[in-house]
Amino acid sequence: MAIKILLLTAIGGAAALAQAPKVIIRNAVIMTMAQGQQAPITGYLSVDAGGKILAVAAGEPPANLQAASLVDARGDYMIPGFISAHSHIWQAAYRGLAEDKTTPPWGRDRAKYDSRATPEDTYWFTLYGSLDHLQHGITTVFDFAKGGVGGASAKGDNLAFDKAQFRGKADSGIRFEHAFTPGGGRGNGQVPAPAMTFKESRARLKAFLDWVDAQPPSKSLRVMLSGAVAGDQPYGAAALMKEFHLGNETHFLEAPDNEGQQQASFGAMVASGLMQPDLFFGHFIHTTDYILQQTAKAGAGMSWQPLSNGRLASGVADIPKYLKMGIRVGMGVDGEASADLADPFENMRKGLYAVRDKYEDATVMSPYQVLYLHTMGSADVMLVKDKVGSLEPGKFADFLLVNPGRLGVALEDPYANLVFVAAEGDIDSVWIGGTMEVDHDKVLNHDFPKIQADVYGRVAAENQGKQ
Amino acid sequence: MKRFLLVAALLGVWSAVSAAQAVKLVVRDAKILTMAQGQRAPVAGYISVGTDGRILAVAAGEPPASLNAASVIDAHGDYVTPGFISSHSHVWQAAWRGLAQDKTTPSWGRDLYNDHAIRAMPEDLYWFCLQGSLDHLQHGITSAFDFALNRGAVSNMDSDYDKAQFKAKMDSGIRFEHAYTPTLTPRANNTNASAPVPADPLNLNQARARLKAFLDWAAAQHSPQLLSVMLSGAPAGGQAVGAAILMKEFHLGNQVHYLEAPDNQLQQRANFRSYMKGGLLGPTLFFGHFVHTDDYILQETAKAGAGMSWQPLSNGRLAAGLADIPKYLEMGIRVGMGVDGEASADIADPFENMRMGLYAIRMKYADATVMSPYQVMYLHTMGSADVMGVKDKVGSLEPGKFADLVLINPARLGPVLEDVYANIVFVTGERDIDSVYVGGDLIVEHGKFLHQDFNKVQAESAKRVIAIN
Repeated sequence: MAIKILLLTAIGGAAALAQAPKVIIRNAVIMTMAQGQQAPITGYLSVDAGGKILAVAAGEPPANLQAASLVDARGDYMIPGFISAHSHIWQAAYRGLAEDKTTPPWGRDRAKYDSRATPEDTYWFTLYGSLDHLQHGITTVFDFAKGGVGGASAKGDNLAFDKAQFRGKADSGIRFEHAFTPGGGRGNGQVPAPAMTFKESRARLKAFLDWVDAQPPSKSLRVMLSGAVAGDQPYGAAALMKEFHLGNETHFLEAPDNEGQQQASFGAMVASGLMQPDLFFGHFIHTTDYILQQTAKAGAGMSWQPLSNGRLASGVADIPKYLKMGIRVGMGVDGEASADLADPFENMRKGLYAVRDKYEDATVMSPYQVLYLHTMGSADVMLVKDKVGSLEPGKFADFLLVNPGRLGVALEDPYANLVFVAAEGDIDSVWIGGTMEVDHDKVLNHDFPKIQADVYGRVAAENQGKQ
Repeated sequence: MKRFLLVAALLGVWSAVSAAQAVKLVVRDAKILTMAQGQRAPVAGYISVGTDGRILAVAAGEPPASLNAASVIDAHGDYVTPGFISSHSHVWQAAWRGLAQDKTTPSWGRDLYNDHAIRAMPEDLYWFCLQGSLDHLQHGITSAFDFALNRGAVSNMDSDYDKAQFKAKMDSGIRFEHAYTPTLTPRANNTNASAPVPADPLNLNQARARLKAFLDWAAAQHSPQLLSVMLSGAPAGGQAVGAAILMKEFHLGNQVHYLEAPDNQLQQRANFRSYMKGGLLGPTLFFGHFVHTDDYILQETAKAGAGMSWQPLSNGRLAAGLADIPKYLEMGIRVGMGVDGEASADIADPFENMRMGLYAIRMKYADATVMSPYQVMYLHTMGSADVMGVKDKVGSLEPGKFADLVLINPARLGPVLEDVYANIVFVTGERDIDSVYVGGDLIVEHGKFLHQDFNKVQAESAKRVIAIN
């Protein structure tokens, strides 16, 4: 086993000789999350000038390997950056609302407060939420942009809200997928979105994709669609996915309210051709066997948000069953207005323990498995498992260094120590593309406290005279 | 608004009473969440603390100019909450995290106790227990009910394992109840533990003598942090009778591990009759975990005025299941919360423990009104104080109670648009704790200990774990 690893990594090292690494992290205990590599590698990781991994290898880096920067991890665990396959980043500005509500009334309550947000506000909210994600070790995010097509603040640009939120993420330094609602979604609170025809939606999507293409280089992985549930919308969504080669995450079967009505809309999803490997469902709790079978057959996936599902009393998705049936599963922290703390470690524990409570069986899911779901699982449903989710040559060098100081002596399984014990306070640093973004909770490239205070000021200003 | 004025008037009275006493500490410019009866709205003001470490006053506004405090701390608008109380901990287990990751309680226990911890000596336990107590404090837990690891045979009058763990808690600065196991009991991880054991008078006499000696020793320590010595448990059969006798004779409370594991539920439930017959049930008894109950057990527990301690993180990790807390509360059963030992709830974070419990209950009921952030915070402070028999001393910020405080930085908790308790309970993590006070003494500031070298303690503890293995 050990020999095989050495051979593989030697090859990786040889290929890398041509390029001078921009950074080498040495003396790390590396949990790669790569296929067949569960045993941690005590060694180093090298990164090329483009921010991609050159090699992951045991031992010390070869003496002839000259890197611009050599970092001593001092025995820290190195793990892939977490991936949230389901976030509403702008919601970070609205924590703690509607504390006793399930999703539908919670959403209405939130709209009372966010309805006056301008595109500029959503820029700051998104920048703030992205940095909050980063600070907690999330390096890649699928972000449902806040809908909205008009209103005085948009100044006639029906893409103003999406552009602002795209820029917010791009400026934060996080790696991302921007999820776009072609029809404009529910609109911007007080300014309901006009019902768009398919043609209008298509034109709006096309315009946004063109705008994205014209942007300066950023850490955008791809644009995705934010799905469509009611009426004939699945047909439109399926057509746009096909035409523009876009993936799609659709909110489905989240709230415990009106389960039957929600389930009834599945027929149209199947008939429309929406069910395919580029589609995944968000939440997907109140399923039926028929829905699960069709989803598995189509090769579609789902994203699991345990913290949010608990806070909003949505219920527990039967993840062990889904996995057994062959449904692809990722994990998300959701928006900070429903999982008010965007901590992937706590999100893993909430999910793992909820499933163990449900089954009253501790073998039903392991620490390694849930860590896999929040890294590789998310990368898979987001269609970017070739780029992120594990630490392998050719993938982006997005990783965390986790201090083992408080995690206890790993007598049996280091993944148990990591998943059962670690929290934000144990993260030494967060790296994206081989560049350090967060050092001991301090965001390096932005004035986080100032941005946070600015966001609170905007929320207070929007809501003056309310309550 | 009217209520606010009334509170201010009451607080004025308290301040007047306290003017006569020397003031060791004033915390000003704080938003105080007292958790006191009828005081849900935060008090924007100050807390004053006497030289005995007890609260003199909690009042709105600025402290009076005449108040001459040895130390005045500006909280800069921080939230101040009562220190959290863990009514169920095995503090020594902090040295043994991450074990038996795929096991339920019985086989997890065999791994922890039989395969690993059995070789620990009293001095090892001192370090393990010091580490765990500091770990509790760092996360904002200022009082703990600690099940000391029982390694004393009936004939062992020295109780040297218990003494080591008692001393460690004293040295850590935490406030505590030390739970003592007087009899040579079969451990919980013994699968035959629930089989009836006949009463043995000799065993009881020896247990009584050993308990008496330990109580005398504990009293001679004069620890201001000791809340009380408690009894740990008594499983089935005649031992329930013995435990009830000792509780009565020495006026001791008792927490019994009961109905935790999903394994052998029928057998476990069958033991309940022996508890009743033994006279164990009463207001000074509470059950630890109490997951797999039935209506009869719940009714009798409520009738007796007994309580229970809920450990959601541990119950999830060990796949123990979910206690039906809303139902228990409705039936009138008293409920506290604990973080359990760090070998089963490997992170001792009361904020995460609250969220874990609150969200598990909401998932179960598919109803978000079934428990509120305020309610779960009440359970982890006043609820725990209540089942531990110390609600007159800790659990809320009121004059006469100990000044055990957590200062929470509001910066990352979001603008409070509706309910401040929602922001605190839904968002707070360890990193948002600015400082922790026990009896008005600063113990932890921004994660750092003022009187202990935590890194050194952790390293010493890890060294001993490795040596044992």
